[in-house]
Amino acid sequence: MAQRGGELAAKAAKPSGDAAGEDRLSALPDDLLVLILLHLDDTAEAIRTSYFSRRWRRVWTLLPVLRFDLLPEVNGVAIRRILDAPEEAAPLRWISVTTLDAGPESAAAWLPVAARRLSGELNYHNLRVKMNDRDDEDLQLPCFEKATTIKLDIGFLGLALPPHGIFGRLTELFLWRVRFRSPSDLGGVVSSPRCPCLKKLEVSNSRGLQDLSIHSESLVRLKLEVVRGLRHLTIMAPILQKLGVVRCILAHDSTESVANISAPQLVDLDWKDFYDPQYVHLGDFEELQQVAPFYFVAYGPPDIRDKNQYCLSLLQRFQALYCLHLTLMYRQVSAHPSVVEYCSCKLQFATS
Amino acid sequence: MEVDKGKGEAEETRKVAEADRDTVTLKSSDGKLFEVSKEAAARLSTVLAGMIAGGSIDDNGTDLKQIGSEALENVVDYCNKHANSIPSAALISSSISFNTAPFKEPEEWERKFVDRLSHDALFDLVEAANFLGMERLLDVTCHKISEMMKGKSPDQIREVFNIKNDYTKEELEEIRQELAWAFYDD
Repeated sequence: MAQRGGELAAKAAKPSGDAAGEDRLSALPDDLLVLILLHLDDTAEAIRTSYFSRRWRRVWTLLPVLRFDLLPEVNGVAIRRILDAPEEAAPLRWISVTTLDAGPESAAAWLPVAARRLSGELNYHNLRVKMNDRDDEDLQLPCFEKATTIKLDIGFLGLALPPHGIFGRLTELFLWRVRFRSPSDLGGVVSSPRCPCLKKLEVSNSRGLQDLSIHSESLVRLKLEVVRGLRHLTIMAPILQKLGVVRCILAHDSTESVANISAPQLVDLDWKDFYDPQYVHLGDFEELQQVAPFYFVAYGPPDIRDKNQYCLSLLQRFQALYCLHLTLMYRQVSAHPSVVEYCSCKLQFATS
Repeated sequence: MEVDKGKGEAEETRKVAEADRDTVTLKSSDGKLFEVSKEAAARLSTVLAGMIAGGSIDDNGTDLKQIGSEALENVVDYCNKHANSIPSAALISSSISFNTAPFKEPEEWERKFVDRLSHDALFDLVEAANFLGMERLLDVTCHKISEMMKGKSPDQIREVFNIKNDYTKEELEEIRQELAWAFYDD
């Protein structure tokens, strides 16, 4: 490899002829060097340029984006050092970290520094291969006062939300595969006082969130998908346009109301979940155009058809719709009695 | 740029005539003149766009004292080629680098355009593109430079670009330890 690289190097240097040993690259202004670094494959390659000469010692600290993807020897402390190193560092627009089976201490090491520096988007993905439920400490999320987007996919680590602080510029928050500690005040964090600009919120494949109460003046899109164990859902969102609640409160077993939704501007409702008008209170949706109700089992034994009521009851609520997305499920007859398969059929009705 | 008001009516007439032409004339530091499509120049260069809009384009050749004739010829060539090329659809890729800004990969002709340049001509063109505020040309040339660095060790890159290693042995060791993880594949 070293030999081949040497040949390439000789080849690339040769056509210059007129270069006569002059270092044109290092003479470029910082912003152009940063632009060149941004075209490299990853942050590690960009950071290695600090090894060239004194001129290059701190060029990489001017990078507005940093990405650390499954680097074999990189840990949370190394990332913190990189984020923390430069005093004169450029504003950080984007940071992405991907780890494999990391414990909460890994992200805990760098998240506070990222919270201080980041003025754009945070991406943290913790892939899990070993799915044993470790009883780790929670990952403490600091308050990101300047970040605009936060995407956390933490592989079912416990997540503790910051008790104080305002996410003043946050417009998008995505939480995937999170284990919330009960009682969790996610609702308090994402509601207007602490997230005054939040437009888009998505929580999916998560556990431990029993009560969620959102009062938001800014929220436009909200999606809750497989938030296991959700018992009480309150949404007061005057400009919400799109709401998706998918398989969150199916395990409803109480006699109290489980959902109260007030979203007078709602246009699109995806409610694939428990629905009984006695327990689920949907406000008036005068602007509503599209509805996607729970799957309707068109063919199958009676015991699996009892949830068809969710679909029918929800549809009875509306006199007219512009568009209806209906998913029909068919149980397939299999030669093998233990194999139960379904196929689904999506229908869309639209009126003009 | 402020136009000298003392030149009177002749100046005004000339400016009207200039506004009607569909090319502009640019003059290199060594006095050579080049014609370039006004539309392409305005679209590709923020500086030229500003000069055209502000009426500070000189019919006898707008002086670009910072740019030599070889580099200016390449700039003009690039603008004219760009004006005649049909952009290919959807080559926007984020896999090409870790940059999040969508970067449209160089078109085949852009690749050839920078590949044929000598080492010095490439850097002259980078500087000219920077001076003229030509974002796309800067991206294409900087992309080319990054490709000359990819997959090489620091020593090999120093050799390609004639970078003089002015660190002491101790400093190099210090950097290596501080950023050990970034050197993991050595």
